[in-house]
Amino acid sequence: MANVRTRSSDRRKSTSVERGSREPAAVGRTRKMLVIAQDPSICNSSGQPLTAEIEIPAEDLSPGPRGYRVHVVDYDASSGVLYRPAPFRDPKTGEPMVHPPDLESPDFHAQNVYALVMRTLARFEYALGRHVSWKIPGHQIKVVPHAFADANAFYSRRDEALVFGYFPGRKGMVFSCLSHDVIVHETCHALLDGLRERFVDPSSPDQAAFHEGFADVVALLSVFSMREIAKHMLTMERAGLPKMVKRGRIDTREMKVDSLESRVLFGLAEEMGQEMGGTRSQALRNSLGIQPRSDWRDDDQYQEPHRRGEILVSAMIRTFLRVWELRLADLASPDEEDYYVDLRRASEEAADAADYLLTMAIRAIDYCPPIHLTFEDYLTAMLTSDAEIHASDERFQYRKHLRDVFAEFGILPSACADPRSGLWPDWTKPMPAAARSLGPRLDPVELRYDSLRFESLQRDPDEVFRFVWNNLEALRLSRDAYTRIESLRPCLRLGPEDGVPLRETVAECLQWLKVRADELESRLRIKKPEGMPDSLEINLQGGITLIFDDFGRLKFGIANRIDDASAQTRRLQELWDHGYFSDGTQARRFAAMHRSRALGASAHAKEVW
Amino acid sequence: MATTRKPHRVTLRTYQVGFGDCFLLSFHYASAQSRHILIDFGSMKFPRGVKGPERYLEIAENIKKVSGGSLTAIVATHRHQDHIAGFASKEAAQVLASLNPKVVIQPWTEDPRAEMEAEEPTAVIQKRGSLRLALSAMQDFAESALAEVKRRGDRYPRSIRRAVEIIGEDNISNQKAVRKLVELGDQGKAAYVHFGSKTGLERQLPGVKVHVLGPPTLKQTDRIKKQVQDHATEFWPLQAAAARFHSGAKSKSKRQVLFPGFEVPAHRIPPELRWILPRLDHLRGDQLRELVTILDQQMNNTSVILLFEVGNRRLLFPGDAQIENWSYALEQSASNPKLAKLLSEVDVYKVGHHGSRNATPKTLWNQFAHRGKEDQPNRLRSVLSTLSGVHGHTQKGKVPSHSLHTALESDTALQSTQDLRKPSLFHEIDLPVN
Repeated sequence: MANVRTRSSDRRKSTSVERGSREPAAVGRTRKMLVIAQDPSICNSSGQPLTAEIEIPAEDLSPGPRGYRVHVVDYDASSGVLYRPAPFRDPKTGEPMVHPPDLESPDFHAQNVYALVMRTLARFEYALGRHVSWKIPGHQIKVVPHAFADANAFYSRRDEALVFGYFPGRKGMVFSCLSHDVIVHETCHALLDGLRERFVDPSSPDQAAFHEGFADVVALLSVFSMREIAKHMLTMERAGLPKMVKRGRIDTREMKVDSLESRVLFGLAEEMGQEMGGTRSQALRNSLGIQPRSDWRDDDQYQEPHRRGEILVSAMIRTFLRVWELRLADLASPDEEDYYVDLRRASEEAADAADYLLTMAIRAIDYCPPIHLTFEDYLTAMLTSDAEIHASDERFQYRKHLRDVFAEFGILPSACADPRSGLWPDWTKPMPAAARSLGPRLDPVELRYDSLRFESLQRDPDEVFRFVWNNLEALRLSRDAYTRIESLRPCLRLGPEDGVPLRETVAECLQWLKVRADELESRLRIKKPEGMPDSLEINLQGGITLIFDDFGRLKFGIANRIDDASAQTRRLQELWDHGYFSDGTQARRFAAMHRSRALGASAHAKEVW
Repeated sequence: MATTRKPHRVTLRTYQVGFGDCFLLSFHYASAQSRHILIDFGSMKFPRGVKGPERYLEIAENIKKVSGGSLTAIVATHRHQDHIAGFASKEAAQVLASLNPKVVIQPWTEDPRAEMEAEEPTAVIQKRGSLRLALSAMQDFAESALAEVKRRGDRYPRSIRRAVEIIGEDNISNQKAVRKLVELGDQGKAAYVHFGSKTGLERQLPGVKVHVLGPPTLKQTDRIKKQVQDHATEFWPLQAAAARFHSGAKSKSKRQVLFPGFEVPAHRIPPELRWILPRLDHLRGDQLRELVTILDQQMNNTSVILLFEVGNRRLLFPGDAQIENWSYALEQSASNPKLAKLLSEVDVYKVGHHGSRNATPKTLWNQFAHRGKEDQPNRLRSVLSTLSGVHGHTQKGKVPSHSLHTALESDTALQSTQDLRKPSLFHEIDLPVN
């Protein structure tokens, strides 16, 4: 990789970049920075790594860079060497500067990793309509671009850090801090950990798979949303599309889902992460290899969390392809028998489709239950959060395609969703009689808002707890359980196309109930797994996500309750089968998770003493 | 030399080698003839007061005496030091060579001809070759990890440093011992075995059937194929290359620098970073420990698993095999009543991997029909060769595992080398054969 260094002479020729390095870069609320578009193995027609200019929130950067959310620390623990912090102000003029894409320069590495972490953070904050906190005691996550000689990169909550390794590859040193998808993937773990702390707890197989699957979804959509990458996908030789290009225009009749998948995305998958070799799972290649099938839950390989996560990735990528195809068809003028569209527009359609799906994927997190997530819950959350901000799905039919593709994988909206729309039921509206019979979550009784102050509800967890306490029965929460408001977040979301604001307050309420195994049946009608000792103490968990509208009324109550006997029976059985109770209920560590994914390792907890 | 067709007695000596394995399995025939098999000959750490070379020689001489100067076979279950280091001990190895072992059994992954025999079916050869490459890279990695601990270990918590040292040393290439085993194999007959293969003992041990239950070949099991071939063959060479990058530097003053000219001298590290750098060092120690643990387990999974069937007796020697190795045999036993019966009738169980928590799969344990309290007829006997305080850094990960040890004491007649008192050299089990 290092042998594709952009030499100084080349940099002088590359006008936009070098001019930028000596000019003020911070303008208004954002600043532009140069990054490697995906990784150094994806090159432009002249053989140089493909770069992209991205916009990130502007801030006054100390050397490092060190901003208010991210602090790049260039320390190599394998050698014990600290590299000097990268400067982001011109020493002569004092003006902000950007570093040109020199793959051998630690300054550029620091810039690349900082810019992509910040872009991901900003993407989450935009989608969720508020600040998003790291799950660390401090405010500035440490990002370590050359943390150790090791083919791994991961998020460590304990060390408040995102760490990236390096190793000698076939063509020179390979730096994981130069891979867009790796950086976004790890940042995504850190952000999701801040949003839903309980998603790393032992629970359902889907929840175990979700962290990794979601991080891959966000990383890949983030890559596709780069216009430079979208254009590259269409013009790279592997795709074989250049033959269809005439005078910069491309034939949309050839750009159907099948060819976009088999030629364009597979082509990109072949190029992506080549030098990472077997040290990192190839999410794009793996997920494209999974054909839609509804019986995958019966297949042993999908009991492994990382493999199961790829189902989610495959469904999202296939949705992306369908929307892209539709958007391309929308550009053509079949009435005039003109099927050719501008290549630049065709690639912009890909980037825009990916960007929209990225927002949907992230925004859905707020509409997920706080614990025991299933893929069905997540699909319903994506559909509902999008419908809230974008009532009509007519033009590009994101929700329709999502629902169709997920259905092909046997993933339908939650049983607690409105069966027709696939959305979480709106508690502020009268419930359709048919839906009311479906289950406890579709039975909104009168809620009490006595003396509740909307202002307080937005920022005071005690006020939310008061609401919960007053409505325990209506919300079907357990009165016996230890109950806590885990988070409270007011949001202001903007419609992606019309900019119409949507104000919401999202609260997570969690419950814990400690019971002995022999009390499961008598107290909660939960069936004890065979062989579980009667005296074993079990900490049952449940919770509800409460979404209040801008009048302080509860709009959505998205729950996985402690006393949901059938779900808890299934969950306990699965955990017991996988040996979690003999092994201690441990949250998973991301470093080990990536390692076992790279090695294709299987978990055999139930065979262990 | 003619023997009557069936042994009437079988004895098993478990030698005191501390944290290691060394067993002498002897079949006694009516004509006063005996046949002897040495299963493993190594140690990671001897009990206090015992010196390695002396103990190896003492055992070799004992074997020479017991066997009357002739050894039927040597089994080296896998290439970890605690199973083969004794073969690198010059004097002991000379004694063993003088016993002219007729067969030397090792796992198929050790076959030195695998990469060269182009006439063999190429698919098999290529897979063997790539796996051998991975195994070699794993040993390279272990060496580099040890070098890194030597250089940087003072920055890691003591428990991490010690774990990396112990596991790393067990996994470094032990070329001297490996070469000796090849030589011994050349002297007699070398058998590189896999699930279901023959051992070459069929003629040497009349009246004894030897079943190879592991390791499976890459073709036999998707799980091993996935884990060890597809991934490990790419993963370990890159890990080894990464670790080697710094292992050339012998001292702190000659450390490898990625970006010369950009280093900050140690005395000028800014205050705002002084709390985070030790954390990153700790994290690196964690990484090394995790990596050497994984490679240790993968190496364990190349272990030969042998089940000896003699008259009404079944003796099981699984080396250090863990579930990934065992899974093929266990899957087969689900559809193969003969195999299931063999496993259920085991009389003597050599406890896998010195009693670690993950080398006696519960599926296997539950199949042992002779488990039971003291009044159980034909109660299962278990032999455990181990030493506490060497392996495992957490309460849960300690070897031997507390919960397994409790089960062994409760449901089997357990012989542990930890119960041997000086000057005893071995435990012995003597079983009549019907």
